Amino acid sequence: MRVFSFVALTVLSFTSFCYAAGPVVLVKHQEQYNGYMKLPRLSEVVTTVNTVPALYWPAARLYKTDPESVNALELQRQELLKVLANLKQAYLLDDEAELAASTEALSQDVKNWVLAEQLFLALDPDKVRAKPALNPILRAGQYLLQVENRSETITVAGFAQNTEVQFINAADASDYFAGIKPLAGASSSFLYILPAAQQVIQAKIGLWNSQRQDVPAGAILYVPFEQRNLPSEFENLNQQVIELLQHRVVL
Amino acid sequence: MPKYAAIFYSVAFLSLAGCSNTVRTYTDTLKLAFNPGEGATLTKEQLADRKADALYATVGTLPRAQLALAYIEHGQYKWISADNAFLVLEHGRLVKTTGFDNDLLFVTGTDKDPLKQPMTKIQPGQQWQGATDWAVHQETGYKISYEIADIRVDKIELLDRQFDTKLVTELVTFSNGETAVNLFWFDLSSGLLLKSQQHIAPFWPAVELIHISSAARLMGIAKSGSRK
Amino acid sequence: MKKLYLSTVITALLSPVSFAETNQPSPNTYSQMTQGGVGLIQMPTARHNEAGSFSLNYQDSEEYRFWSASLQLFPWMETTVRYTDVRTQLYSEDPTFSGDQTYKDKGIDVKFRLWQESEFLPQISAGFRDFGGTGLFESEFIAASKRVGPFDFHLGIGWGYLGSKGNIDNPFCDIRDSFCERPGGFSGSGGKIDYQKFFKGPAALYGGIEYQTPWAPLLLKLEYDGNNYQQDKAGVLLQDSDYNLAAVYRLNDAFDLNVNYQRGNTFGFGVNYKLNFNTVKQIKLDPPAKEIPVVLPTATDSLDKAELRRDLYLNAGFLVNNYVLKDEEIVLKGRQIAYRDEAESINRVGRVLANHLPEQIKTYRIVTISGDMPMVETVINAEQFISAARYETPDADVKTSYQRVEPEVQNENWAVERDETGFGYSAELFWIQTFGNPESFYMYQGGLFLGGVYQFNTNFSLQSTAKINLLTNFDQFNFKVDSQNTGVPRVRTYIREYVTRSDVTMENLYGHWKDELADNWYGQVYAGYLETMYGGVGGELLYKPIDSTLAVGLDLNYVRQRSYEKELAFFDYKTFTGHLSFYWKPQFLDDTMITASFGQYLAKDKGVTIDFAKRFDSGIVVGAYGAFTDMSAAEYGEGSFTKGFYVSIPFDLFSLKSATGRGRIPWVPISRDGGQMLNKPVSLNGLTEDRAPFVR
Repeated sequence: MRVFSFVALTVLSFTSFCYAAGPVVLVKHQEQYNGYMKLPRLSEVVTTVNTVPALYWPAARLYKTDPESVNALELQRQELLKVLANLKQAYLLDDEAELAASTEALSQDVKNWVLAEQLFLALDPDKVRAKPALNPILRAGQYLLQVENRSETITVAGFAQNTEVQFINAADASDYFAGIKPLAGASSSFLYILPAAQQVIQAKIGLWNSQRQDVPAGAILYVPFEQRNLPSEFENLNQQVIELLQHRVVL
Repeated sequence: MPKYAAIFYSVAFLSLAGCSNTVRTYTDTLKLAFNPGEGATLTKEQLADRKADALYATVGTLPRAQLALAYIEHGQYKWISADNAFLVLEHGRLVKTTGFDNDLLFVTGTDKDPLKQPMTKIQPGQQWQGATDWAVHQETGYKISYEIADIRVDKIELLDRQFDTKLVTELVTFSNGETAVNLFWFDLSSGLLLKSQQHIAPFWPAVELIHISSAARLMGIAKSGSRK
Repeated sequence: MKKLYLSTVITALLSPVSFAETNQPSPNTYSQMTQGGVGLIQMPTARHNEAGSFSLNYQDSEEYRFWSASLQLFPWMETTVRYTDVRTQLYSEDPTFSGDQTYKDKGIDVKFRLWQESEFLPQISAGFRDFGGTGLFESEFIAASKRVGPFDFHLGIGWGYLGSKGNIDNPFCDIRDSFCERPGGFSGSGGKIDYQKFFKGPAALYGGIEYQTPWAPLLLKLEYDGNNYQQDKAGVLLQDSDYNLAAVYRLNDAFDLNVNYQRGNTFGFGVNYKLNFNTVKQIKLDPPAKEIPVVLPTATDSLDKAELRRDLYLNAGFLVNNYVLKDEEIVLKGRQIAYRDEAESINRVGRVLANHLPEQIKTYRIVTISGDMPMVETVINAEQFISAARYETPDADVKTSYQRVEPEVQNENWAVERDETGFGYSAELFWIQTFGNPESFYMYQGGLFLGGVYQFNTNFSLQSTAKINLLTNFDQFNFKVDSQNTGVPRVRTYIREYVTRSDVTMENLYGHWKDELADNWYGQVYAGYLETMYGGVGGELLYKPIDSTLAVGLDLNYVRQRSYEKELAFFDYKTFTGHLSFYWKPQFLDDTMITASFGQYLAKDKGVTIDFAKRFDSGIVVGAYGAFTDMSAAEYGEGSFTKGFYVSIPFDLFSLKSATGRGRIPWVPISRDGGQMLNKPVSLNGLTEDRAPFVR
């Protein structure tokens, strides 16, 4: 009796597999793939990988990696690179070689970013399971779920030589800035913090405006260009970089 | 005498529109403030019938709430309240909350927690350090250190029965220098944690937890391990 | 057993108006100066707090006591109102009038941000202190502030009281001779803005340093005073030192305490209560909004109508007046009584409906009524709503599933046969208060308004309100009418007679007719005893399109003054009064409503009343108004023209359950017989608030 039903089940699932021609949602986590034949709720996806207590969910990021999503970001990247090239030209015309070099350095950096569409959703399984509003059904497609142990480093992007700094306990954004080697033209008044799945935070770190702002583990720090160094037609440059940086897959 | 008239017609109406419905809203609010409920108490029968384990939680001076065991995942016991807030315990220690005003997101270094050991091996002088991460203002990495200061035998009464317990007194030091005392009562015969009083931050009131289902199980009135 | 809402109750009881406590002290707000408003001790700075910041202050410094309230109305504008108690002077020389009460004065300050601080440039502000009054502290200033680490440096130029030291030449004096001398006295009968004095006469340079100590709660201040205290209301004050010192201790997020040492010889202290009108909120213990079941009911036959209405009332705060269930849609008529946020209201109503109605009901039409007139219809696409409410996509938002439209409910086949004829009643609390009276600084009267109504049909009714005083100290009044006889009809200044005649009075008794005359047009007519002081007939017409930024109303009334001696009697005074009113929400100022009413007032003066109201995110509304008429300041008397302020506070900021009611606290510094409008028993603009919500 048991055997029969087992066989029946296998056949059934096999047929449905053939019919659907593969899972509708495929989630990659730490080089493993989890497929879902039916559109899953977020809680199913996050609990599946929640196997050890050391996973640090506050820094978890969920990316949609389908070609459509990635292509849209690729266009955005090309736009940004064009802007940066123009800015560099403008600096060269003004004999601002150092600023042009900084712009070029950021360009190179942006070219190397791995991009995927970050979804701004709370991912902690305990939060997601407790509240229906935090537990939506995901759209069909391919995803990348990044959740690791609490990171010992903070990623740095923008007008800085460093690509990362050591995580510091209970530190203010300005403590991190002290460990960053800024490129020429970088702001010494502001630092942007990009926590996982949250809005960007503008930290005030200058002598004239400093205000306490902690940096969460797993965040990305963006060192912006000092606003007064930007010609007026490039005044939104920092915002443009941040918009793209939100969708950078930090490896 | 111009001054005489100065504040003359400043008679002004403070009108309270909204009438009976509003009055009722206020009465309800006052009732809640002065009598937020009697606090949870389960009878032995209720404990025997329960599908999920129960935990009493008292925060500060509030009446105690009753939580249900929702998940056991990789050594973490996750207790849920009636309003879907979670208290997550690891070896009896509160290591995470969700649904509160300022949630504890994570405690690092719990692998060195002496409470991980069998009850008999917990000794004075054992210590460890961790760091806590909080939800509000992205506060991350606030140090907290623990040292077991005292061990003694104590009796506690639960469900009308006296339990002989090992009382572990732990000294907690927070990053701002403030200190607090944590207490853990383990059943002497089984080593199960029956009760604790814990502090997770200087700004969080003391949390008292009573593992009432464990007590019931030791008394033979509840079935073994169960969750929601 | 009673369920205990663990997390919410904890939060609620720990901090009634909640702040999340954290490891780090919360960002500091700039502290208040002695007279209220952000500043050093006596001297104002260029600093502004965040928009919505409110501070209630008490400050004691020997000769003076100050009660003040300061509000950051916009990021670039701070306003302060203040009562001053001059300890060395009597209220009046006449002890039968004011006993041994000391001198009281009112003042208003305003400060504008002109330039924001950047890395190398300072913040710059200009301000006006105690303008438009008897002007004890009348001054103007321009100040600059620059921060370097824990130090905040300030430099300013003061004119008037702040500049009385005269340690520099008035820079404007070089440009125009008229700026060299400051005109004396005040114009009209006080209470007017004396533009002709601004930035004139002696000027003084002042400055100061604030130091944020490493210990977060403690802030130190040092200032160089621009005042020489030779012309103070309190008398000449001895100045042993040009420097004043202060220490501010931040007790917590809500309270600042300060002590200061002024003029080298005087100690002072004060306390400030801080709140932010944008962010203040209250924990709510409302029932959770309904979740939508996986399987919807299959047919309308099984619909339990009583339960549907009960759920709508208890879970969605929606009081159903009537409904009609059709093949593919439901039309609900009623009003929201608990959830003042529209999105919350519609979300809850939609969820309750989805719990009770089968899938073939494709549209939920929710008609909000006010006084039985349909105001607005919210059309919910049920399928989209349910999908979003089940969170079927990561970016699900129920707000995209509905829209507000003109109600289309002329000939519906309503399910319930309603008898529109009948009696109704209501009860409302009231509290009348007045500050700074000669008899006693604070005077009050509290009690109940009991309302009765007989409705003939949805349009026509007979209404009456009785006022019952329960608590009052108005018996301390030692005169009922002021002695200022300027020849202007006493249309409002008999107020003390009216409020003290009897503990039970008939506030109003009138017949009332109202209707929606055409799309967007509303009308009302009323006749009878209309308010405390007037009876007569009147009508109003209002044009108010849905969600429009402009509404226009016209009211015309013929009224006669009621007697304060006999309940039903009238005095001889009669007049036409009426106004053409524009209610405008300008797009360039967020959450702001400007009302301009042109017409003839009760004392037959003609002019305009301008009312400016700003709504903060918490729902608190703060407003100011002034009436500018052809009555001269001399005729008007003390104060020169009618003006006032008000704060309207949603009740549920103080309760653990949501509610839609509001309380309005007015502050009328001076108000006499000019620029006085009739208090219409019903305001059409208020009645039709739902068509284009401002207050919410």
